[in-house]
Order: sequence, then C-alpha cells, then structure tokens
Amino acid sequence: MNRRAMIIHPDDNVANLIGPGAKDDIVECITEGTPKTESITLREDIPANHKFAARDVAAGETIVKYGLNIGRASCDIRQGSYVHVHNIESNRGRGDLKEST
Amino acid sequence: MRDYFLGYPRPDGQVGIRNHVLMLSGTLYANPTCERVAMMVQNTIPIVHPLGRCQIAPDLARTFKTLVGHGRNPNAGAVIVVDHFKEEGCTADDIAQEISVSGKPVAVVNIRREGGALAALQKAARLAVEFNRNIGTQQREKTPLTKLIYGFNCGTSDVTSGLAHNRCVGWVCDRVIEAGGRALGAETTEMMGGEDLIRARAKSPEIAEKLLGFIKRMEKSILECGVDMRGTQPTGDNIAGGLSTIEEKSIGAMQKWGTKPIVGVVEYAEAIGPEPGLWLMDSPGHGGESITGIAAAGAQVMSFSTGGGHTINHPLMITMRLTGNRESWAQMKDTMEVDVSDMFEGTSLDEAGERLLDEVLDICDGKMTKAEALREFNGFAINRCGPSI
Repeated sequence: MNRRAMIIHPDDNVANLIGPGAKDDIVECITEGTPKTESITLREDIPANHKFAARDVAAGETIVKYGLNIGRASCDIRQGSYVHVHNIESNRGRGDLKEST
Repeated sequence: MRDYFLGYPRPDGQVGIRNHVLMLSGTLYANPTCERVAMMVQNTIPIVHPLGRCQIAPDLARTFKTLVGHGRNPNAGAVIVVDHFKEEGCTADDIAQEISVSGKPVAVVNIRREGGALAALQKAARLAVEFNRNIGTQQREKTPLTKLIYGFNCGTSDVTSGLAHNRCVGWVCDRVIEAGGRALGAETTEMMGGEDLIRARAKSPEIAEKLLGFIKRMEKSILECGVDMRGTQPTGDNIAGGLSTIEEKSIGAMQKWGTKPIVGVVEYAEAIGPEPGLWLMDSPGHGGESITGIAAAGAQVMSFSTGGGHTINHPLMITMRLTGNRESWAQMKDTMEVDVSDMFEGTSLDEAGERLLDEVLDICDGKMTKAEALREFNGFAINRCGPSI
C-alpha cells in the first residue's frame, strides 16, 4: 500500500509517517520546503504517525529531526525500520549516567 | 485580520475578557468556603489549592506571588480572599492588600474572625452577590491587541504536535505580536535540547543566558535526584504518541514560539514587562503548574495545544484547546475547540492558523469555551520549589 511521510529538514535521518504503516509498504517521503521526494520501503509495521529511519544509521550516531539533535541511536538502524525508544535514547536529564551532558 | 477584541478595562490599565468575581483561597483549609460560594453565586469562580501552610520561605513566597497574580488578573472584576491563618507574609490580608493595588474591589473573609465556617460562608456569599451586582453594569469596549497577553502551552504531545497544532499556535503568536501584543509561554523542561534555537531567537545574549540558566537549573535538579528522567519525560502519553526523547518533544513544543525574537524571560508566576513580543517563563512541563504561572503573569486567554487530547482548563485564564491529531479530536472534542488535523491533508499553515486566531478572538469577545460552559475547573496548580516542613 502507498503511504506518505514527512521529512521536516533536509538534514534529518528520520521521517514522520502520516497515518499507520505496515511492513513492505512503500512510503513516499516529502522533504518539507523542497521539491524532493523519495520512496522508502518499511521493514516493519509502524503505528500511526510514528518515525522510521530515512537512511541507515549506525549505533551511537546522532538522530536528526527538525535539523536538530534529538538523541542517539542505541543500535544500528536500517533505512525503513521503526525508530522509537527501543533503538534511540536521549542525551539529557540522565541522572543514571555517570557522565551526563 | 482583525486587530482588536472586546474587553473590560480595569483601573490599572489591564483589560479583562471576562468579568468574574474570584473566590481566592489563602490556604487549603479555606477551599470549601470558596467552592461553596462559587456553586451558590453565578459568575463566581473558585481558585483552590493544597498550599499556603508549612512551606519553606521561598516556596511560600511563590504561593503568595501566584495568588496575588491571579487576583490582579484582569479577568477578575472583583476578588474575595478567604482564610484564617497567620502565615507570616501570606495572610489573607496580605494577599488582598497586594491585589488592591490593581484598583479593583477586594474583600477579605477571615473564617476565625467571622466566627467559623458557617458565618464565613454567609458573609462570603453575600459579598459575592453584592460584587456581582456592582460589576454587572461594566461594558465591554473595543480594545487593541496591544492589551492582550496571549498565553500558550502544550500537553499530551505526540508526533503531530510539532507538525500541526504547535505551528498554528506559533502562527497566532506572530500575528498577536505584529499587532503590538504580547505572547507568553513557559515549560522549561520542554526547552531541554532546544538550546541552539534559543540562542538564535533571543533578542540579546543576556536574555538567552537567563533562559539557558533556567534549563540548566531544571536539569541539575533532575540529575540530583540520581534518576533517569526517561519514564517521566517524555511521559507515557508522549511515548505512546511516538515521541522518543525529551529533545524531540522540546523541539516540537518550541514550534509554538512562532518566528519572532524572545524579548523577555521571567521567573515562575512573575508579571511580564510592557514590551510587545515573545515572552517566556520558567516552569515545569506539568500543564496545570505552567498555565497557572502564565495566568499569574496576567494572560487573559490561553491556547493549549495537544496531540493526545486534553481536558485542561484554567478557572480564570480562559483556556481553549486544539489538536492536529484527527483521532484525538474524534475522542475528545467535547473538551476541545479547534481541529487542525486537515493540515496533514494539505491545508496550509496560514489557513489553519487563521482558524485558530478567529476562535481565540471570538473567545476573547465572550464566546464560551466548552470547559467554561461545563464549569470544568481543573488547571490551577502552584509550582513548588521545596518540601513541606
């Protein structure tokens, strides 16, 4: 099934699905403020409006949305994979980490 | 776009969008008197809370400042302060004295001096009847937006927040500011991760440093607890809605700021200055506490934007809710006023923003919010900086 998603900033490595998505859906990704569109195939089911990787992201790499740092990858993430608390984590308010930023 | 609203001018130059009699509780032990009078007498609004006793000095000062700010809020045409304690610096007489600077009618009902709860109830109810009769002849006047403080806040955010409804709020902030008005937001927790945006948006480096200092203070207080903030921020609702980190939530929340420079930054519940523009206040992400701080600063109207839907409604600062999540609108439309979910179907920001602005100005003119009609008073909560002692 064809789906749509928004990439908010050209530097972003995650996209926001519009509505829900299922594995193997081909998603048309529109980068806001640009004429750029690209098709990405979802690797798994994704809840309505949630995020997926717009490109391959390595463990520890910064997750970029709105063109800004929203956390880091806690494992390797392949393009089209669901992105959420299971594979990215915050850098802020982390009293559990010895060297918090 | 229209550049005025119809409001009630006050002696101190502020302009209200409602003309309520306010029952203001000095401590939690005066709450029943305030609530009973508000039930008995129409157009009478209760402000009740669990504080005012056994607080460390800075905390009691914060309670005092918040209560006084509500008494001075121009949506109150007259105020009755109820209490019976002698908490130094925060008695009913002290609170009433500070409110009376505004020039509006203020009275004190001291439960002990009146001879107990029943006599106090009788006196307070009689005063509320008299105040309502007296202020009832005041008329709304055409008022420029220079007199408007547009409060904004968000809650139960999800991934639609930063893309739809928060952007609409930002659009309205921009229009209010262009018309010479002030827009006031808060929520320090939801600025964590947005430091670069703050540096770019602040009118001066001093303003940026003050705001960044609030964020550092907030983060330090979390780190000192020795816990991972995750699990509390983002909240369970945020995570279910697709927000993964506080940084993502923050940057989405900051879409409410529109595009104008930050002209000033204030402490919790502190009155803002006269300069038109975008103002920001220190507050936690807790919705009730943050909108209460904004109301204490004198905002007449609040846009509360929400992804998951929300029932929040400040008793005195008129609170309208909006969402860009179609499912939330369907589930929660009894307590929300504006739906902008069509932004995901191609409706432009200009079109959706104008829909919000029209509703905000109509509400300023007297159109009831759904929560006002239902008398749902649930959004008053005073922020604390210390323990009970």
